[in-house]
Amino acid sequence: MLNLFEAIWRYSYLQHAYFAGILIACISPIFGVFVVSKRASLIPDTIGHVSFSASTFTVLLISLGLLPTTFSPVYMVMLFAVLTAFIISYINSEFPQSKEVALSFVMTFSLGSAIVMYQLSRIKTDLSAYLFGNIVALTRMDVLLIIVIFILALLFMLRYYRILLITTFDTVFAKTKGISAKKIDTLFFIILALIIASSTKFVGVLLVSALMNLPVMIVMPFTKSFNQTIIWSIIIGEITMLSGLIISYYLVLPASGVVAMILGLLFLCVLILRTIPKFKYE
Amino acid sequence: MFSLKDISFSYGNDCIFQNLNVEIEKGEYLLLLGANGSGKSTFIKCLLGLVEPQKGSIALNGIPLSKFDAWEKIGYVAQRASHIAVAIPVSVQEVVGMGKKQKPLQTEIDRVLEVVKMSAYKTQAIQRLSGGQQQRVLIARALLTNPDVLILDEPTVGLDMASVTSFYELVANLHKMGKTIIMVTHDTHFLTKEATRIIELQRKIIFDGDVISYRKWHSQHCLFCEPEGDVM
Repeated sequence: MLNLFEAIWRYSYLQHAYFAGILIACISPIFGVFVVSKRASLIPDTIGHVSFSASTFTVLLISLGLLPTTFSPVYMVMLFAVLTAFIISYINSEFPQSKEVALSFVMTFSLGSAIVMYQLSRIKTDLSAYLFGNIVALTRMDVLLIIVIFILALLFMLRYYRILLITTFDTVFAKTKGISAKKIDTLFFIILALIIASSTKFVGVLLVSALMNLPVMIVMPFTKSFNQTIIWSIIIGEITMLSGLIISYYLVLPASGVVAMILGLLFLCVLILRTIPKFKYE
Repeated sequence: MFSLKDISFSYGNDCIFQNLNVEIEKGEYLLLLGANGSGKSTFIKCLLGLVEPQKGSIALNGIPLSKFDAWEKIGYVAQRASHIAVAIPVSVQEVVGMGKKQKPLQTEIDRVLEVVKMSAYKTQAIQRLSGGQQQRVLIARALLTNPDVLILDEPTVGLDMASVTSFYELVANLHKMGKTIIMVTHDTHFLTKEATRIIELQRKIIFDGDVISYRKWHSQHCLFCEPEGDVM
């Protein structure tokens, strides 16, 4: 087996994987902090499940000859994800007390329809790649897409960070200052949907929310401010992503699984640490 | 300052108030009392422009509320519990900084924290403070834009007696500094001497006068009161 650095130098798939991983591990926790703040941790999973049904829908259409065989599922995934963002924004504003039920419905319906469409399709693709991700399958186009969405998401945060913080913390107070939470939330969920849609090929549908939520949950007991939480979430996200990629290379294991396990183990350590009074709060 | 003329408001078929007329002058310290469902919160929402009455007009400094855009002149402090629901730690100075759309200067944040005597806690997470301290931070947030009027909606709910006393002292100081205070409370048994006017709502105005007159009126109408009510 080649030394990792030699392998990265030689193989483009590793270059794609590390580059995409670094970008995803940076932007996911930034949005994850707001997702956890809004107590909306189900939303990344929901979008992930819809992305899965979008992929199987694309394959079904290809098998029926309604789309060319070269059509990439990623475009349908983006479309479905953005439509889901509008639905989620609606659910969030109209059913704030029962949004988990509404989101569960969307997840269940998406998963059910994905399974049915997979069965109906004459083309049988490898489902595990959708569910668990496949870094080997990342193409240069996929990485370019991740770069574009990363830049879009970063620009959104730079422009709307304060407004998002104000509306997340206190919607009523924001209204008294003439700030509409609904518009900013819709925009937030659209960008979130695009991040998740672009990440699913890398980390898979089942693990996409882990990258959003777990770095935040790991650092929360130790931070005292929103900014601190964002910075440390990014650090934890990057450390787990890079260590997961390195370990998966040497042990020949699926990268997304290793990253998720590292995040899970770190979270377990935090849960144990939280039994110590100094680290408790709430 | 505020001028409400013939205000009528209903939630669906539930009429909250009809033909309400109220003038609130600059410099007043108004306590808005009333039982649950009496229309106090709806009244406040009308003042803040959060809901629009089906009939009547509301003006602030002569400007119809629908055309009013100097919202930084109104400071709003809500009930504490409903606004510390965020799971992520948020520092005191971050909360106070949210009082303005644009990023405030650190000196502005320090100034208002000094007014509410919470400077020592500026880097602490607000979730780790006591109820009374959290409420002070929310007042600091409302003060950031140096508003002319402070509207407080049941700000003492869930606070212990010591915190309530300290809170009323702070609000009295703000009133002395020239702020117009409109405070909603459901607690008729602890009335601050500093208040210049009391309005009690029961889907209409059933009392409008000063504190001393209110005590006499209330003791005649309240089944649970001692002849002389408590005044702080």
